[in-house]
Amino acid sequence: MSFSRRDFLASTAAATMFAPGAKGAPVATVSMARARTYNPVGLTPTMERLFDGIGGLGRIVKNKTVAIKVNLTGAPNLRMGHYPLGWAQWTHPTVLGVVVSLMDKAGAKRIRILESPWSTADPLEEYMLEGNWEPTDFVRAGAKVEFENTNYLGNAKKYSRFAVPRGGHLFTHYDLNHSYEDCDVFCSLAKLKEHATAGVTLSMKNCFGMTPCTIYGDGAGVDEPSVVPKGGRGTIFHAGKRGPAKSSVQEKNPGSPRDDKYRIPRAVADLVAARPIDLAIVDGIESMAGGEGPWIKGVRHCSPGVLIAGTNCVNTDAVGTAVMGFDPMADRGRAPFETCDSTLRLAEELGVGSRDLSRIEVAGLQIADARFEIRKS
Amino acid sequence: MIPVRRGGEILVAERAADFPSNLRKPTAAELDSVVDVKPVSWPGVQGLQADGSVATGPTGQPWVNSNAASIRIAQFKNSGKQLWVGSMPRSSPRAEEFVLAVADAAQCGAQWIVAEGGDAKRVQAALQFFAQHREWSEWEPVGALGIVSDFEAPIEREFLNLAARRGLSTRILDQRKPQSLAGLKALFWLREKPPDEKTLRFFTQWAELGNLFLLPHGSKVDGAATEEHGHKVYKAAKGRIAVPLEVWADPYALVHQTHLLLSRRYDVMRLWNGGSLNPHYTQSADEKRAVIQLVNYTARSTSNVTLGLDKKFRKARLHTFEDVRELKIEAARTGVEIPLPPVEVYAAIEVEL
Repeated sequence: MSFSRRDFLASTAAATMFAPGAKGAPVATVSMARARTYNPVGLTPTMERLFDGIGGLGRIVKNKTVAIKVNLTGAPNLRMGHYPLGWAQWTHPTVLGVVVSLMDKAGAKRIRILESPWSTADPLEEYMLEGNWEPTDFVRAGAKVEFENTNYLGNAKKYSRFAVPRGGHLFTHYDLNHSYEDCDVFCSLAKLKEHATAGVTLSMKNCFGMTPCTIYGDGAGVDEPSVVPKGGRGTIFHAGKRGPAKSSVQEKNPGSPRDDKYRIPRAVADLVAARPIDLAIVDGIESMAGGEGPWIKGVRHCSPGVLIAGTNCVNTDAVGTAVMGFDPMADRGRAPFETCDSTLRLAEELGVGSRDLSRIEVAGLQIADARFEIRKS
Repeated sequence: MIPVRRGGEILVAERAADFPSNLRKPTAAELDSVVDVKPVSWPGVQGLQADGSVATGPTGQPWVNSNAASIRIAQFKNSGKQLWVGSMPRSSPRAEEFVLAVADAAQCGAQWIVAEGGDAKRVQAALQFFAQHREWSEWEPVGALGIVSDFEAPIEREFLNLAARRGLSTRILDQRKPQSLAGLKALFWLREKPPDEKTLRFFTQWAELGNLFLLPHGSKVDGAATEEHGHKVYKAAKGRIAVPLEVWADPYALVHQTHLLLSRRYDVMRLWNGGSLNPHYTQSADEKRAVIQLVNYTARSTSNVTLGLDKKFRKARLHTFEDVRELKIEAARTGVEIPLPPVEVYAAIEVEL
């Protein structure tokens, strides 16, 4: 009997349907390290120690095809002030380069860098170049490194359908680019930031960008996915003004609130339950406070000086939330979720992982020592 | 010689300082040395709303109306002649709109036919500035894409306009005189008919050195090809030759495909937070000095614009109509980045190696 990756993912989803609730939600060690600069000479040993804290990269990536979803939110020609993108809203290229290099060293068979760049079907490498990144740096960092723009169908013949365990919050199924299925290990390489709609941007919120705008974007096709993505995800996900392309599974409850602060946390929780994150890495060396991108009023640069990694995304984001000076057990009404629901709680409800810090072991730098009150920065 | 419209008549001022008082009729000989460029539009952002929002083009960037491409084409076709851009009627124009029209034309070496009225002092300051820096518009544009065209077809003309909006810097090559291909990474035969045999062989040999040669639909190229970005792409030793799968129809798609085939790796310049700006990048013959002229097409000044250049320039100086000052240069992975102060209507960044 043979199993495809799709079968495996579906069986994982089915198993978690019977997982216990919040109190029994999975936990795994989260590792943290202090890092003040993006100098690759110092960053490489720091990240080696970071991954040692979760048992090393070898056990996760050896002989595997690894897909890394980076956070390249917003247009590449848009900066917060004069700050290079990696110092504010994007994952920093040096962190990505070091991660690729260490995964390669740990025996990864193939490393695929993924993102759904803003409103384009252009190759991901071209998008990076526009932001002043050099994609060949990543190619040189590993034996076999590939890129894919996941904002559309890409080179596949069809989209991959992912079922959300326990029926999901917003949708029961999501259609994504094949790259999220055609990998053995899925890594979310995120940024430590606040988020105007979801409270925090960490490894889970990064995965909102997996959704192809050909199906879920402002210019999505009505019956079938459009050929190329146009615009963002405001119409369908944020506002709920229309459904995705009819070829995809429609929203569970069209009568639910059309409030983006209700909808986005649910969509994110659904997505990380449907496409589990095997390795969550958060770049919090340099970042921004007050929101997720320069389009948010009042954002400013900040330097939390921390890196976080874990194999459970809810655990990892709970630690990240605490590092930013918030209580990961908070929900709507309490910071950082004053006006939105907590993605942490919603993912926990789907059995993805626990947000209870008393149950999460932290290796390396401890939360009290790493704490960076982002709202006071 | 500054052209000035008074009623239905075109007069001239000898120098910018004479505007708008000491005007005279131009002589027949003077008029013979002038080419009247028909403006595409009054320069500015299309659909600027009262709330500051703007209509956008296919890229999501504001839709900018500029005469720069028309002027470059007119320059190419009328070497050595003065270019006047016929002013257009405008109801109650603001002073900065007059200055914008002057700057849009002057950055490429043409003169907007200024009208009397409005804020004459500001217009005069702009005219004087461009008279003092005439050499900038005489320098060669910097870009990795060379274009051979007679610009007869509308798509050929619009290509130049949209390429500039996309940040794809271009150099027009004049077949009538010997020109260096140094610095170019791609050459676009932007004409409906393919080149003759001899020219095809010449540029194929150039492509074989590791460059890209783009040809029109129907061009015959031997060998196996792959399909990339709407083109058949043939290997030519270390380089490539690209032929479109279909006849050109959409200038935006053509610019987009060309840029992807060339790659943004060869962008000579980048702008962050500069969606309302059109840059014009020219360099001196010895390539040691260059200037990036930035025209801001909105009514609002820019904020936090960063200019990225692919060369390791050591000095940068900001010129506005009112001021000159040194700018800080930051090293980038390739080349330099220069954080810019707010740009009102126009600024020039003069750089030196």
